[in-house]
Amino acid sequence: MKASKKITIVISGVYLFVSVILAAVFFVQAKRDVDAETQAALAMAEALIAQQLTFDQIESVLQHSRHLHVTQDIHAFNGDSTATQEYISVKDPTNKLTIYGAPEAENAEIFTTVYQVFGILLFSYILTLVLLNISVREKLKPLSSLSLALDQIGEGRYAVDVDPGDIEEIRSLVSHYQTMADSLYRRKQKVQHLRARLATLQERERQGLARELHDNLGQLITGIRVQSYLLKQQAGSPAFVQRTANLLEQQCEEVQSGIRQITHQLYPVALHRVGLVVALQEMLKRWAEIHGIALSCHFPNTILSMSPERDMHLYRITQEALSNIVKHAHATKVTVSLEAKDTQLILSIHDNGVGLQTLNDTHHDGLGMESMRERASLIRATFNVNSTDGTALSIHVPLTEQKEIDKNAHITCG
Amino acid sequence: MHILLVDDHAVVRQGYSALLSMMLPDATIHEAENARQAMTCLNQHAVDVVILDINLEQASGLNVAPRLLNHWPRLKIIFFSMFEEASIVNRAMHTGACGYISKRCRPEIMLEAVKAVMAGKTYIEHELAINLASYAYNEKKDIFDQLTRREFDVFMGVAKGQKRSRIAQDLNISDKTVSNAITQLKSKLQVKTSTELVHLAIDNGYVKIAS
Repeated sequence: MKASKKITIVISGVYLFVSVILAAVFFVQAKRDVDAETQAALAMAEALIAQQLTFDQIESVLQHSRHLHVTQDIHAFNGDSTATQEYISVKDPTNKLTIYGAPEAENAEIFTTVYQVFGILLFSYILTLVLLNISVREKLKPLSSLSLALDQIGEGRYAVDVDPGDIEEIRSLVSHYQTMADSLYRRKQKVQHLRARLATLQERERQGLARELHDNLGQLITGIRVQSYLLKQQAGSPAFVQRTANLLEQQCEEVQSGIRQITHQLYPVALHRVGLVVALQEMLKRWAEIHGIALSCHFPNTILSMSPERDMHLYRITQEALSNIVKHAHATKVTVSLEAKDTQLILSIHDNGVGLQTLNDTHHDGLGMESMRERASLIRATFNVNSTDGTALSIHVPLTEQKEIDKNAHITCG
Repeated sequence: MHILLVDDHAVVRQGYSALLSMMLPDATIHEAENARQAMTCLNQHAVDVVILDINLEQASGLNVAPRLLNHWPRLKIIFFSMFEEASIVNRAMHTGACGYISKRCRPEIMLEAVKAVMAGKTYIEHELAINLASYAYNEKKDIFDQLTRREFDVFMGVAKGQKRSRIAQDLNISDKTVSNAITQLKSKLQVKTSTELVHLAIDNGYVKIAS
């Protein structure tokens, strides 16, 4: 129900109630007044008769009286002494005159008062109604603007541009809604931003893989092709055929190895099935073997919660770090540790290589470093690089979920 | 006749070396992994034709070619690359090379190319030549054309991931000049970050990501 309608109903009810009470009071009071006046008039009339005054004397006494009159008309009233609501009359014993009176004046007075009071009541009722309706409608206008503005938020327009007027409660309400709209907007921006960053990261990954295919595998196939061509040219020479066939076999093996590496990079199948710790251990072992670098692992937690997104990013960060070590560090020993301490999961990768030219200065990050930082920030982790003794990467991820049991985490790496 | 094959991918190098040896029995085939080895070889032998890969480890073939031609102006350079984009072919030919073939070509094409350039002709693999002609026809401006020599040198420095001070040192200019050049670069090449510069360099064959 609208406010103005409700107010109208309530005010009307109150006024009606007051009117009824007032009417009752007036009625009772009026009756009493009339009775009293009648009694007084009767007493006065009787007193005058008792004095046995003449008609003229009584007439001169009563000439200014509003209530009593005297008449010589002996047929005017019946009975000796009557007091009814309409009139009183007292006849004198000789029946030559009658003093009578009607409470009309009193009634008139009473009615006037009643009319005045009810008139004021009506006037104030109307005035109150009009004023309240107008001001309510006026002051509540911001609320309908607010509703409109909130509807627009649903359509993506986050400006709550409402004039709150001067009512403090409404100002406060509008102000709170504006704050809420602001934070919704910022949240939306943040989500868009994160999505864009994730997309960029994935795109870079794809580009990297495309390049790997292009640069390595593509060229291997070129080499294989030319060997096949040579084979055609020298088909007659068995020694040459033998040699070339061996070469072809070797080169095909290289292609296979390249493909396997790429697929592993693309999708470490193990990750979701066996958990981060085991996946890392296996990847590290493989890597250390291929590159002949001494590896030392430290995975003390047998209980480690699983979080697909976090695990994937930590895995990739490790891959990237190892790739950097191979490319730049010229290290002979690498230490990797993953430990849950208090409310954090800490991944550390340390190598005894040449160290980085730049430290935490993000402006000079190589592509790999940048993608590691990006991944770290996507899982809300801090990313630190220290280059005093070789290079040490340290990633701290806040732990939020409950712990589950990772049943294979107790496998150690050699 | 002496032919020098410059390619950092062993399988490719060895394969084509064998091909050339077999099909051109009168020629001596030399191999080099990088620009340095190439220079050494060129200093020692009277090389006629250089078959040059673009995506070399340390330096881009696009930058090596002009250096070689500086020292040996009558050298005939044939680019042999995985890059097939018309813009790159265009830039490659502008360095003064005599030929360009893609690594996806039939092995015989390499022989045709060598024979053609030895006869004083220019040889561009058929498909690439068509692309190149369309490219020239469209009068597309090569974004690298607008760079000055210095800007290009700074660009190469950034692409290789060098710090500004190092670039300044290498080019014998001040740090401030380097910073200014980088700002100019970003504006001319229409990128916002240094990382994008690196990507541009990679995509255009000026820098190789080590594998």
